[in-house]
Amino acid sequence: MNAQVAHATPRFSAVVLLFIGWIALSAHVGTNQVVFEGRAGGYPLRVMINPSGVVPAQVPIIVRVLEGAPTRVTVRAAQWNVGTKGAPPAEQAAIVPGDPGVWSHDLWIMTSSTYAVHVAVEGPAGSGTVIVPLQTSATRTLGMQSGMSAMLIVLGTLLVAGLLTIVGAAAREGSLPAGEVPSTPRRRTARIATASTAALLALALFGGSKWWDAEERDYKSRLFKPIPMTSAVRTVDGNRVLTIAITDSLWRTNRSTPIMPDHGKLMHLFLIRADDANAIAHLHPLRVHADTFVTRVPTLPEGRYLLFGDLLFQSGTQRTLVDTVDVPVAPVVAGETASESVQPNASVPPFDTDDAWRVVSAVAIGSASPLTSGGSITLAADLGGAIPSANSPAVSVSAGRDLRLVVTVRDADGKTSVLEPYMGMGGHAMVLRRDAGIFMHLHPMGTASMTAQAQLQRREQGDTAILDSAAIAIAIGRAELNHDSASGGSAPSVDSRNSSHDAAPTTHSAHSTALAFPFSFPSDGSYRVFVQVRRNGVVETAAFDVLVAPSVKPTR
Amino acid sequence: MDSSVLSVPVAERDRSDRVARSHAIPWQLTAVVFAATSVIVGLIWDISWHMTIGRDTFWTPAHLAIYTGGAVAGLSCGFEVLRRSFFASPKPADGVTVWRIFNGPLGGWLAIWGAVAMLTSAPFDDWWHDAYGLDVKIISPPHALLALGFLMILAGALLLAQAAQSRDTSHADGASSTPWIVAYTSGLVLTMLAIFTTEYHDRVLMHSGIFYITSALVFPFVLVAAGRATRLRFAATATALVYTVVTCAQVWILPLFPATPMLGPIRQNVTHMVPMDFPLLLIVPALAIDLLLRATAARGAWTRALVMGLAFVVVFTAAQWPFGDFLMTPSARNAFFRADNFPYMLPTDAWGVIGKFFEEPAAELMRGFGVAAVVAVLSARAGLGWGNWLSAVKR
Repeated sequence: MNAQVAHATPRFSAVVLLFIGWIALSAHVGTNQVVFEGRAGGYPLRVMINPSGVVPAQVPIIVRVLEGAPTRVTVRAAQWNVGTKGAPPAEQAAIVPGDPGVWSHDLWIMTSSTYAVHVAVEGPAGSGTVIVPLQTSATRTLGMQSGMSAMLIVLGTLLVAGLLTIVGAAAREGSLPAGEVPSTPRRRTARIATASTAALLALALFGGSKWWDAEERDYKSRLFKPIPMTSAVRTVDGNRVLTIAITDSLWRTNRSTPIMPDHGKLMHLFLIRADDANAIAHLHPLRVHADTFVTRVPTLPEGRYLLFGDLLFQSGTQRTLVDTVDVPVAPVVAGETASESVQPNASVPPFDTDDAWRVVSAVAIGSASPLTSGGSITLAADLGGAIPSANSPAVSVSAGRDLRLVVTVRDADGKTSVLEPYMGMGGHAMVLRRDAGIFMHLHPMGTASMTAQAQLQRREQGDTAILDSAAIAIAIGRAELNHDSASGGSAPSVDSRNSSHDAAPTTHSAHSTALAFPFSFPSDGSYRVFVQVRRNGVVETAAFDVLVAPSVKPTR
Repeated sequence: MDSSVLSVPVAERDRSDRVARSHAIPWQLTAVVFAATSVIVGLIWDISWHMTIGRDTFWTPAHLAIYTGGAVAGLSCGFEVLRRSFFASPKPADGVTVWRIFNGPLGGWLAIWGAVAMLTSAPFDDWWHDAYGLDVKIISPPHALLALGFLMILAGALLLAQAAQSRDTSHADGASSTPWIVAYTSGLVLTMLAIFTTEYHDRVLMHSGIFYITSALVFPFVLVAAGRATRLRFAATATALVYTVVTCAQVWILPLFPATPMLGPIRQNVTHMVPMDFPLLLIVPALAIDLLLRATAARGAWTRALVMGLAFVVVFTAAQWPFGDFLMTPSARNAFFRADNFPYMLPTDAWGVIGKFFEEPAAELMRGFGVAAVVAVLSARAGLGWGNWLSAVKR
């Protein structure tokens, strides 16, 4: 964490720093929750997994069958490096009473790792399996409730007092023939025995408490920690250049699998202005060194920014770099195009063609937000029933409820716009809880990365090769080609064989008008959802505010 | 002290008590010996369950066996204490007094304490799982409390048996069963301690100092005490025999039952219940201890401890070291020795799997044996003292 608190922080930056330090998580920030939409056989389904922050633990796998009535649903979790060969047998999910089409089963997850959750559906519409990437990490410890500790104190006291009395009684009377009354020396011996036992017991209890502390420390040391890194913006040749350096020793000693491009980019970097969340950039920094990424900072207002850098490892693990960074005043006051006209050189990298940024003014979910190139964009929450219209924006969204965030884009004439693929899919959405405790990057398939899914599938098929830099470069090139031609609906997976599999999502096809993100807000609170789509060759960014009510059912 | 004592007139009861004192086995001894057996069986079953299936709930048969043991021990002895304290008249004079008003056999008190400790560990363990995850390590503070509970129930059984043996006047003619009950309960204690230290008795450590240091710490104490306190000619041997038979039984019986691992990652092809290791050859040093106890009967306690402690290390090493070599060979991977008893999660390149010992430099090993010798002498001395006290227990 590069937490430079050099000057007075605006509004909630202090809170932000606090939260980032404590709740920064893995695949996304602040949660390991998975919401995934895909197809298994003839059944479109939505899989929801919300791991508790304890590992090992039982994790509920919830499958909502969106269409049709399957006869059997099974779930199975395979750790990324052992596959189903080393996984327990598939287990049958049961229909959740009172929730039609929803099946559920708890899986035992024993390690902090990345898993391929195999969801298999059987039924008249055709059987099939879909792989859902899941990451687990230990993120919390549980304090003891006062009732429990009171009970344990009472029982513990009873045990201590009982043991001392028994030892005394044993020394006093244990070896006496029946009926004989203990003599005074025996009584004295008994008192000495009790006192020595008390001393030993005190020592044992002291040792026990030290042991408990050590176990607690050990557990805490295994809690999830963000990847250590530093970030800074400096001005080079009249440009603001952001440098991100990873300082993690695990990373630098190659003890994790290498990173790989996720929809064509090695890093998806999000800069969101900390105080009002009204400025956002989605950038793709250049990797200039094994542990260093650089990018130009586009024409955004100066200030403190939240920094989220999404990385994908070849194990299928997603990690997010988290920091705050101070962006100085732009040295040249210029429009976006002026900034782009600066000749890039060795120390000033060029912008990526898919980089996009905007100063936004957020509207409430359900309302239309005007777009820079004309027309409007609307975000609505589809809970499975009627989609609330712009006229009734009072959508009640509660934490833990799965839903679709439905995006509608209209041209200036009111017609529904045709969307072009943006990095291989219909659009991207970024969800930020306003206290910065939660940040998630969504795709039309859900919260998971398609490349992670393809990677887990590749491993399951027996391909355990780790890609070298040449293979990664080819993968990036192919992804660029796909994006530019905007022809295929296939995910920029490294291995195109996978696209024929059941799991290939169908929701991100090119040139569509419909765009939706399956999602579930992990907790209550005030959220801002940023949506990015590409229309007529221009990437549009809009922001929507959602107030999420507490969960109606207790979450685990 | 049969259970009909409440319904017979006082005079008659006195007579029956006297008769009981001479040869009958008190019913709560039977109950606690059953409880101790149930705990041991459950514990072995549970360990095998975790090596094989992995996943469990409170309601596994293994857990039920353990808790049945706890319940039987606690309830039977609790009942006996209440009967003696409040419903017996005149008050029996052959128990020990706790908190002035409660009276009961010493072993019964230990069994009750063990049952309460087990009871305490249950919610503690439950919270531990919620806070720190399902068991990653077997040895955690709540499990230590549970283990202490087991041990106290076993010690309770042993003390009840010792008291019965002390009061039993018929052993002189060799017809008595109480010494055998003492040997059986001592054998269960030995088995329990061997299980608790099983981590240091792994095959791969059989050529390492730590293996012999741990053995020297635990086994001379139990074997010497048993040899000293049990009224049998070969008491230590009988105790070691109980351990050997129980451990062999699990080696031979558990793999008869098919089972599949239910937790991942699974690294071994496990199709049947995986037992714990083949027993250590404790019967060999036990025989030596029996012979030396007799040969050194006239000597001082420290001399006896010195002789027996050193003999334990020498004889046990002479037996176990080459046996370790054998266990590493493919010839031991069969239904008799079960050296292929790898738990499902054991990596396929683990030393035990590839048949490799943990090696340490010769100097380190020598130092290890030096420490083991000192520890064995101290352990034997403590065993003598404990055995003396045990043999005197009458209540």
